[in-house]
Amino acid sequence: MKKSVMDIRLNIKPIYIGFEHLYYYEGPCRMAGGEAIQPGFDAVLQGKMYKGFLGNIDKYLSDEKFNILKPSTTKGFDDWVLSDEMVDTLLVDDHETDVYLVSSNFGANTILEEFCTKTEKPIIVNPTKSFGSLAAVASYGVGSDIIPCFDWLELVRTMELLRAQKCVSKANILLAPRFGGTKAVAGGNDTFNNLIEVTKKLGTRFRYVNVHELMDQMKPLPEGGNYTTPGRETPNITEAEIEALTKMADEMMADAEPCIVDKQFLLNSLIAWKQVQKNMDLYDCSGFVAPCPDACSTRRLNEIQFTFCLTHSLNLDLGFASACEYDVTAAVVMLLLMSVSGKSAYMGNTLPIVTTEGRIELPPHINEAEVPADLTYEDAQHLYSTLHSTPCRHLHGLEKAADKYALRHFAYDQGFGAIQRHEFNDDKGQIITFCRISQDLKQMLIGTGEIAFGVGYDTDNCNGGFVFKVSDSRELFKKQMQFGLHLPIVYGDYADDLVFLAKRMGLEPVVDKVPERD
Amino acid sequence: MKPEAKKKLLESKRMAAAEVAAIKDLQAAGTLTKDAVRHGFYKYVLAKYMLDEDEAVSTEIAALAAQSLAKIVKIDKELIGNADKPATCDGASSVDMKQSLLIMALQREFEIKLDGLKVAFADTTDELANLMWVALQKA
Repeated sequence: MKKSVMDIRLNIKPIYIGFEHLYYYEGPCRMAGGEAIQPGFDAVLQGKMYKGFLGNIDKYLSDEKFNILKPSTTKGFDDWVLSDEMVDTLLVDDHETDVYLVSSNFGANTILEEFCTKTEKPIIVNPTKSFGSLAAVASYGVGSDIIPCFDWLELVRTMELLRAQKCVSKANILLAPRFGGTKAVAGGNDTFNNLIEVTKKLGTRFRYVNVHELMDQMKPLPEGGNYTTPGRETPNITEAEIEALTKMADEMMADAEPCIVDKQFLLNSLIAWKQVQKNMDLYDCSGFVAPCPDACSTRRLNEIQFTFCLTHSLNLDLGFASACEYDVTAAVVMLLLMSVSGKSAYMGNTLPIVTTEGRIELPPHINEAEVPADLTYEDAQHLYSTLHSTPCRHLHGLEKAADKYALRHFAYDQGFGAIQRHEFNDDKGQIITFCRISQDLKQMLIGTGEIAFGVGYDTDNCNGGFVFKVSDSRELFKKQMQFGLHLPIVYGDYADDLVFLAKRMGLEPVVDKVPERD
Repeated sequence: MKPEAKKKLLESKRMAAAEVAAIKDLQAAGTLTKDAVRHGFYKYVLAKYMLDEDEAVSTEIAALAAQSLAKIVKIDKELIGNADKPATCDGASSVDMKQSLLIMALQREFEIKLDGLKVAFADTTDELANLMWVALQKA
């Protein structure tokens, strides 16, 4: 079954470690007198604290993003006996646990330390009881994956980020190559150098459908099977699915502002999207990567009269990664960005506005008429652009109402290849976060910008996007050379979150300076 | 300790002891009922927490403990020191401490043994009285 970033839940295992004094005595580990140091008192008080711990879990982590596993408890005593059973009872669900949430009492140090060193899963300690994370410094010092959280609010955000990491590490991405499986011949060949290393380092796995076989599936299965797989049953589009997609086309055309694409061409693109979705479902995938130029030169896109642009837009609107030009890196990064933000991502050719010798030189596909007349040379030194034909309707949130959109076409002459447009001029001033992982899996570029103006809403082809303000375009350009042309973005500032995740993924964060904000 | 505060503390102890004695008398006579335990225990808690029946906000033990703490602060802050020393380094709240001390006291005075974890999850005086009822029947 296909899995969007909204489908992934983080399995959180609560652990409570108690500690009881078996006798009445006073001394440097007794902090009270009377009834409070009698045998039995610790059990009662810690029962109350355990209840409070569960209450906080209920208060802060009751979200469908989180799956709270059955809590496990153990306790130690002041005879300091430590048995396997005391610790192993906490590890019974280790195989399905993504992160432990531990509350441990003073005195139970040995149980806590042995537990922490017996699991390789991350551990977060109840921040507001028993010295918080500092109670686990000994285990942290010997390599246990303790993630310190200052308070419950930071704990919640940390859980959300661990869920984002899980979205990437558990994802399968469907690749549709024409030639080799790692890189396309043309297009995004600044993608990862080695996909096996990606799986080893990030966890993401890759599954394949040949692009010719995929295109063969875009018509009902003929008798005797498809040309590329004669005699084989394949999941071709069905007449019933075409009928449903025809209704979807009518609805999309009615809502588009404006709609400048023929219905048949929109239907062709919707069939492509449906076939990609069906294959993602078949291969349990969370993302898709298309080999745009490699597929284009087969001339079959021209023959079938479609492009994959709308596939990407619609996938992204549902929380699935979807990347152009066989840019596998962009797909992985989009999964990360969408799961961190809960918003659709966008990817485009990302290029600086070049200021040189007193002139402002615009990147390809930006129409000079769309540039504000009052743009100064000085301001242009801080501008970057990103353009493609895959904007989506949920840039403000996957669960928020869809933005308005236009429907246009990619092919100038024949009018096929339905594309969505987003009016980025409506989002002037919007903070964005961009990100990309280096080809060699060593670094992650992280930066923020601010939308200055939109471009391409009223044009066809691969021109929809926006120009955004950065700290220093020349400096970002130099950094970008280590990463690649496509810098996927999401709305909002998630730079700190991505720095945290980069470190957890074993990547060195390369952070672009924050631009001045009005 | 102020004389007035001392007088209230002694009065509280006397009233609590009277409720314990009443329940024990019924138990000895074989006429103790669950309702009698609930009613008597509620009055016992109010006495322990120095609360009058007409000022008690609810049967929620945590709410009564918090109300008691607030009232004691007004009477004499020294009483808090006597009642609620921090027992551990684990950050237990004053309300948790007060409830735990209540449970220790009731176990001693009613001569019963309660499961620490189960009593921790009893939110109201009635829920705690139900656990007491089971323990008293075994006693």
